[in-house]
Amino acid sequence: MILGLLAGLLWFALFFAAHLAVIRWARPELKASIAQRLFLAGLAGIAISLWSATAGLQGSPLAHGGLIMAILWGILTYVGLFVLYMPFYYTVVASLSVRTMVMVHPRPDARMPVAELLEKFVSRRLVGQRLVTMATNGFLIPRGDAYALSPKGRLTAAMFSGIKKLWRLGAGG
Amino acid sequence: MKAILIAALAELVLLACISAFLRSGSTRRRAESMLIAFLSVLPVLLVAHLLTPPDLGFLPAELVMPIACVDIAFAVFLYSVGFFGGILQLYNLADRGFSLRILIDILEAPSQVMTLDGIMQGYSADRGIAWMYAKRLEDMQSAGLAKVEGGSLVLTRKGRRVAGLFAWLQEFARVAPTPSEVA
Repeated sequence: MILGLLAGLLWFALFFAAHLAVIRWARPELKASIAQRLFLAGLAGIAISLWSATAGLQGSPLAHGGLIMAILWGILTYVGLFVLYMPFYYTVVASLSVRTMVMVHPRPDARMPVAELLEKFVSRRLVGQRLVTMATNGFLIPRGDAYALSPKGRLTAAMFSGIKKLWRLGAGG
Repeated sequence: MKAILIAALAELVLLACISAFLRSGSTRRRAESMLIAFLSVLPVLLVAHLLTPPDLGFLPAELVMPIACVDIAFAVFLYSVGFFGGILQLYNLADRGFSLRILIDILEAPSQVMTLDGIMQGYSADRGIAWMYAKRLEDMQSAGLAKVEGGSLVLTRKGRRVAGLFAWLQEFARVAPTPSEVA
């Protein structure tokens, strides 16, 4: 179990370092798919490294619980750190509130007319860009000048629509 | 294994509490109330871990973590992940997700196909994109990050610090607004 914990920490550190390189140097349209592959490679890395490590350290307190428990602890640690990190990353790159503050920040007295912000953020360009990104990520299918849901988009929309109803969140957005 | 089982049980209790709270219809300070619920269940998890035997009365010896403090720390980690990376994220996405709301609007449209103009006007059950952005500005003000003065949005001292940090992170990720966008 301890070996699994250590492997989970190590593989997340490797994923994190590689992901920093991706967000810095990869082409924007490839970042999401590379991150997904890196994440899966980390999962495989945990299983492979623990398979050999538990065999080599058999009988040691580090390997207590055997291979299955080591992999379970390793994967829970790795996935846990991943789900804590990724929302922060998406806040940095995609949040409209963050983009607004970053745009206002360099202005004199950190002040910007609301009308100007509305021009930039309540615009066809911004929403159009978001639709293109959603289509690139497989959630939407372009149909002429309109968009339809892909099977992945439909599943996501139906799932969250159900959660909104269960928690009585209203339309939101 | 005890850490995983106890964290899972604590998460279920937390999920039940939060679901009951959200279903009660309260709309004020939801995220803050959810955090209070998380902190309230945490001592229950710790007490449950300390008062129960390492094998919970049924686990085989090879599934028992020999170092109790590591087991407790792992249980707290899993419980925290379930809340911050699970329940809270799910709530944020369901209540505030921009892209997600667009998907739901298309799902609920009679033809299940929408144009760009249709999405802009019909966003969030016909409230429109302008409503969405006004909500973001309101949230920034209630969080003490900015205020609206004489028709302008002005960052507070806290807002400038936060914006400075995010600007640096966006520079690193090469997603910062270009000078022409800022001008």
